[in-house]
Amino acid sequence: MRRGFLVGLVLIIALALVLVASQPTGALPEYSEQTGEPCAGCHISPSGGGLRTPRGQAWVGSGRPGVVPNLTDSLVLLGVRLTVDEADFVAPSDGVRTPPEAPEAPSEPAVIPAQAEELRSWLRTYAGN
Amino acid sequence: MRSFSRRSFIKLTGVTAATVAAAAGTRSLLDSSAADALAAGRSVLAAPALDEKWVRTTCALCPSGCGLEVRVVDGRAVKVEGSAIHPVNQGVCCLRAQASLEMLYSPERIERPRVRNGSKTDASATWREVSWEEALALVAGKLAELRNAGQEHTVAFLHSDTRGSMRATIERFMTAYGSPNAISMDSAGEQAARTAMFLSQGINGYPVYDLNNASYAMAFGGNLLESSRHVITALAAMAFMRRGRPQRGKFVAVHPRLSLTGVKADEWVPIRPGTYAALALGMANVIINSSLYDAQFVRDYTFGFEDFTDAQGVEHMGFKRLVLENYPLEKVEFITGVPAADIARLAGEFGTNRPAVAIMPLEPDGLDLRAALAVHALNALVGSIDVKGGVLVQRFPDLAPWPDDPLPLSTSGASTSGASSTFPFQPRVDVVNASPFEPPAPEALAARLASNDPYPVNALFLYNANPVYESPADGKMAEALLKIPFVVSFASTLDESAAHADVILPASTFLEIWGDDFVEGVGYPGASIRRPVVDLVHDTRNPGDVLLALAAALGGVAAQALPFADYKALCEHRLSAIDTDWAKFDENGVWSEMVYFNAQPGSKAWSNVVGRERLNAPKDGRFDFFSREMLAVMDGSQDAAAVDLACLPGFDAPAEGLTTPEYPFMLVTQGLITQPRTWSGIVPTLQESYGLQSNMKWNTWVEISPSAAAPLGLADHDRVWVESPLGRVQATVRLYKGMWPNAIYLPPGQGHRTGVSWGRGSAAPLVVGENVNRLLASQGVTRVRVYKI
Repeated sequence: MRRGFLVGLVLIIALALVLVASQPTGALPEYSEQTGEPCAGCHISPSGGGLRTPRGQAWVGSGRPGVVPNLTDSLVLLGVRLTVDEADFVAPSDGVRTPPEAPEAPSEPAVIPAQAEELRSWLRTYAGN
Repeated sequence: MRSFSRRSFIKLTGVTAATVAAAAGTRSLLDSSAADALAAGRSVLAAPALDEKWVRTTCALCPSGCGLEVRVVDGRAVKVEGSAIHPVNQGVCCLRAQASLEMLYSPERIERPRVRNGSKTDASATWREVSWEEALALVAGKLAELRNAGQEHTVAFLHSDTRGSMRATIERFMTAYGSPNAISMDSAGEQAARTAMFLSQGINGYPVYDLNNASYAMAFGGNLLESSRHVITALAAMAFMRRGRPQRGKFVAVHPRLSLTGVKADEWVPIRPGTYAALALGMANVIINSSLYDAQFVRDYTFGFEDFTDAQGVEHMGFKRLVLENYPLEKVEFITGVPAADIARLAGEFGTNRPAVAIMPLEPDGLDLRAALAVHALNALVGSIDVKGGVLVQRFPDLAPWPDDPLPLSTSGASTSGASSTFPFQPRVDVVNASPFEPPAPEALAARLASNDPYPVNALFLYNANPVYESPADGKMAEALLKIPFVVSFASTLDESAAHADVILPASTFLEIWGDDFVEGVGYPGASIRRPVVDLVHDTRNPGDVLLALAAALGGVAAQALPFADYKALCEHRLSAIDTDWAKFDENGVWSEMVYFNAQPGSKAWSNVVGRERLNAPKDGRFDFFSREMLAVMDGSQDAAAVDLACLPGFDAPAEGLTTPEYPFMLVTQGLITQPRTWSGIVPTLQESYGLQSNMKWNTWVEISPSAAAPLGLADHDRVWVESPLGRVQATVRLYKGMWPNAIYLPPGQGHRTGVSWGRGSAAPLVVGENVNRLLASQGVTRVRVYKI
């Protein structure tokens, strides 16, 4: 009995310390209520918490106002200057596709060695790392 | 069972409440004490204050390029963590980066420049340590001597992975000097995926798979979560697609071996090595037959799905007829060993769970370009080109142009624009294949170097490359290096190739140098900064600085082409075109646009994701099932059927079959997360955890199916020879049910020599494990046999 009591006591003390030491979480449902946004508006995980999306980062960075800025405004607030125009990524509604042109058949001789090497060299170069 | 009395319960409750209150009070007290102490400018601890800082930099140990935060105490780096604000790793950090401090402070490092005393062929020749001034004068003098003799083209620069501006700097240095021989030895698997992107999609870049948003992902080969190009983003995205969002995605791993990627996947599909193309085309057969493909996308934004007639009136086979006639399920089952019912089910799942994405093979077992094309065709079939959850195109930041470009258009005498250059045409030394789209085989390079074909190479630079180790015919590459009169290595340790050098200009580790890095694997553009976290540990230099110093010493065009005081200035110049808050960029160590915009088919931006870099095929925004780029370089003397087979994806069965009676097993290798691309095999912590699945370390093992081992009389932990037609290595048997019965697995990255005792009591040189490259055929499946020692 005495030993069981001591073991239980130690476990409870350890649990108590863990409970006290644990930090409150950062994701709060009231933020969702305050802004009218779902958790996924600001967090990468739709259930909230953890890493923030650019909108979430901008919202926190601007002092948690009543409204979460839209994506474009968020990027501006975060100092991101886009190098692309968002409108370029939207297809025109009246776009009509024409059938492809018939390609040329291979002719003889094929690519001359210098051209092949140029092509090979070009393929090796790469804009990335 | 002992009773727990009411009295005891009350006592425990009381003690618990008192403990909680006491603990809370203590914490509050501690907090206030600490706050008081800090406010008073006193140290919280009694120990003397240390000079501590965290420095943000960028990892260079794999192509992911993660942001790191390094804790530096009194000038010594003591801990590495992932940077939470870097878009690639978002705070996490793999084992390799954690172990990077062992590289920084490794006793294996070469501490200052070395010049060989005497001839390389003399085994007793020793090294002489020299100053950087002497070493650079020696190398610059040799380059000037060759240039004055009209032999610039006989200088070659062999490199593997590069980061940020280094690839462009190497290319520019070599072009300015007058040589076409900047030779990249990038991963063959990744190279095939990149070439497949070019031939089908018209993009000269590595594919980016949007796993975060995919409903269904299928990896054909490749240890995606351990050794892929974007391993860290893949790890995070896989966790997110399967656990971090309301609608869980499914991940399928196809490979002969149940790797960690297969273990983590929802489904592992065991397959006969080298047959990914057949499986992908069999799936395409089902998807087309069942009308599960995106018919509108295929009609409006692809080419070569249906049969067509070219401008000369010749009829060509389309992708649809190819797969319907040649890849029925029964045949595909026979080739791949995957049951027909499973192929049909996988195809159905892939076609109906959009966005679905198919991941191209990444590794050498059975790798070929046509397999990558077959897998990528699945993405086009379901319209997963530049959609959320599909294949994205990595964008890069706009960089400032090189200053006052004095260079001719090309070094090979002809450019794609047809303009001629001022340099006389000289062929490259690494070109042996008829098709410009096939990567050069390393052993063919060795043979060419050794036989002075097409001309003798008089000087060779080695940067992040260890061709003696990496080439299948290692003896031939060693022989080739011995024949080259002047070999300069930038190695940090005395690796197998540096041991054949004449001069070693030891590179500093990435924790000691300035540099830049491009964000990859997320789609949107970004760049990060690499900076010294500590002072130089030894008398080493940044290879970028060395190239600039050599260019300055050479003068003329070389000096004009690279007029920078140091590599930091070069990177700053290149990145200066980025429109951002530079103070913040410097503070964060990274800049990115944070958001990837998917281009709708037919939008203005669509031309940047399909067809952007086509050279000979139309930039009409169509994905090529039938590669018009390939068609343009075909030999016109071939008949139409041969042309069609070359321009379409396909499975090529080896003439001898996948196995032979003499060699009954197929060899598969997969990179491991414990295997860095540089510093491979000699980092103690990584060796200690080398075989995470097999629990093997400091050695080489062979995984073999119990059903295959039994007839051979092999038991777990037996020592065996694994032999291919090229050579044999020793290994320890690990019986593994997650292995295809006719295949065996050997881990890559072992077989390096170390001169450090590492706790074994002797500093005598030791080779740790075996070099698998000695067995590997450079193309197709490697066949092996296994027998007891």
